[in-house]
Amino acid sequence: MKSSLAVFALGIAALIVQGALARTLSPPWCPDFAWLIVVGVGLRWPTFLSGIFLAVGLGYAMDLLSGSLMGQHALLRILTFLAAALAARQLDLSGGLPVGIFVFAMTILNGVLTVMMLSFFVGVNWPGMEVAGVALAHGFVNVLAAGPMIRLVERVLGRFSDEEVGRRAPLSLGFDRTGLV
Amino acid sequence: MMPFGVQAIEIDRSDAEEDAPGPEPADKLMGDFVRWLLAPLVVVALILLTTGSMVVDRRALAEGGRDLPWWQGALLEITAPVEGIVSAPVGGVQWFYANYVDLIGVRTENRRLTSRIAEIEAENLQFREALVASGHLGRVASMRDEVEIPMLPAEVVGLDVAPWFRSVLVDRGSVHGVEPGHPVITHEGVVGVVTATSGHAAKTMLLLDRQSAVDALVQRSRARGVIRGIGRDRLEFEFVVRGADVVAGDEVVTSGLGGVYPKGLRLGRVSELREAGGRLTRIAVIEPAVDLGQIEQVFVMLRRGPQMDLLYRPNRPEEDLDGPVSVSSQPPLDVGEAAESDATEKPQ
Repeated sequence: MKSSLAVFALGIAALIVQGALARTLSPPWCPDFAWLIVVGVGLRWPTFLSGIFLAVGLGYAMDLLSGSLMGQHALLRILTFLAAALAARQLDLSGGLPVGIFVFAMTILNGVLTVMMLSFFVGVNWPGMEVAGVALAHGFVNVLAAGPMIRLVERVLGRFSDEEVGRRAPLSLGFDRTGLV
Repeated sequence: MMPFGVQAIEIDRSDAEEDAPGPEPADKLMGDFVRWLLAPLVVVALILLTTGSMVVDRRALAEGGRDLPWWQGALLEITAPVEGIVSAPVGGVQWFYANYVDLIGVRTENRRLTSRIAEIEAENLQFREALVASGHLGRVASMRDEVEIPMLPAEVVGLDVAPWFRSVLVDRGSVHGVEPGHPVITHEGVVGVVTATSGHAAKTMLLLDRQSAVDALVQRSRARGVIRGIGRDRLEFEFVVRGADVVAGDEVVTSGLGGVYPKGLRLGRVSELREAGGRLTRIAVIEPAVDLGQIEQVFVMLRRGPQMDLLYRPNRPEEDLDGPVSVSSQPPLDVGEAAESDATEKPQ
């Protein structure tokens, strides 16, 4: 519970910093720190249910501070969390490069889904090239910010959680039920 | 005391009983099934919840915006002031840059503006003369006194945190009289419209947002069209080609017909003309009158257009249609044309 609250507070702080940074940086070049925290939660969080509720909470907070429809970012955060949790189980995302590639791909997907939702709910059309340009730039800065943000989530988990921190891969770590190697 | 061998055999038997897969109790099976089902159920429920929120929000926006529920409002109440504080150092750097570094070349700019003011004053004098001659000046002045629109100064405390949307957060909310649907302007022109409010904060959708569309007209030729945001720092003015006279450099203002903005507020200037793809319409690229990436102080027009009230509050008593009582108010800018339009839109 403490770790969930701490990460939620971290997400709100990230949103506030993002809002302040948006004054100086062009919107696509401003890293999405709060989204990266959700990616970090998906990759490293030990329990599924608290992780997904955390992702939804941070998504709604983002919706409040953004011009999106209420629930739009929350829905996208659910998908991001599920994708990250699945990737953490199926892929080896322990290194910087694999995480970078994953974050880049997810940023592009996140952007495309945002635009598709806007088209569906509001009837707004975006030129494909423009979407690609914004998503690529945003993907690039998100990759740069991904490492520190995921490490931050790990540190908060390590500080507050009693449970094991690290990858949730169902691989043998060299221990069995009796504690023998 | 049993013989050693017998005891050993009994221990072995009990181990075998523990390991044997016997029939599990129904409660345990049900518990496992519920646990197995819980995660997918929660995911589906959350997806339905968020999609439902989007539908409700879309409907509320179509009706002019919404007051946020208490839990959303509380989060906005906390984040808006903090965001203002966090933004302060960034604002300080920008202020320093604007006030000192940007002063290079200010002498030339000053000379240019001084001569421009002289030109405008001369032009203004001619217009006044013409108005006096036609007897309109007195009527315009009395109309302005009657329907002056109260305006509330507000500070921009945060910009949109997502690259796909263009909105800002201002530090005035429902306790100050701000309501969804109120136009937000600066002395240079239109900024956007309030879409959601909490007690002490309001979310404003900028003109640049792709969801924004404003009925507009060219000030010189009165050609009408719709101005849309395209997500970047330019707007698009789509107008019907037939009979329209639009050239680069034309000023585009609000037409007052959309129901949100009063007539005559500056939207921007035509920078280029483009084909729209169809034969009936063309598109003019508009440079916004306000630098929407750098706004710090804005004014919320506390009265929504009477057309909006007529559209969305059909059962409201007629006397209420005059709008809210003035909350603040010395109007900080000249809203002569806006006031004139408001008078003409008012139900008689």
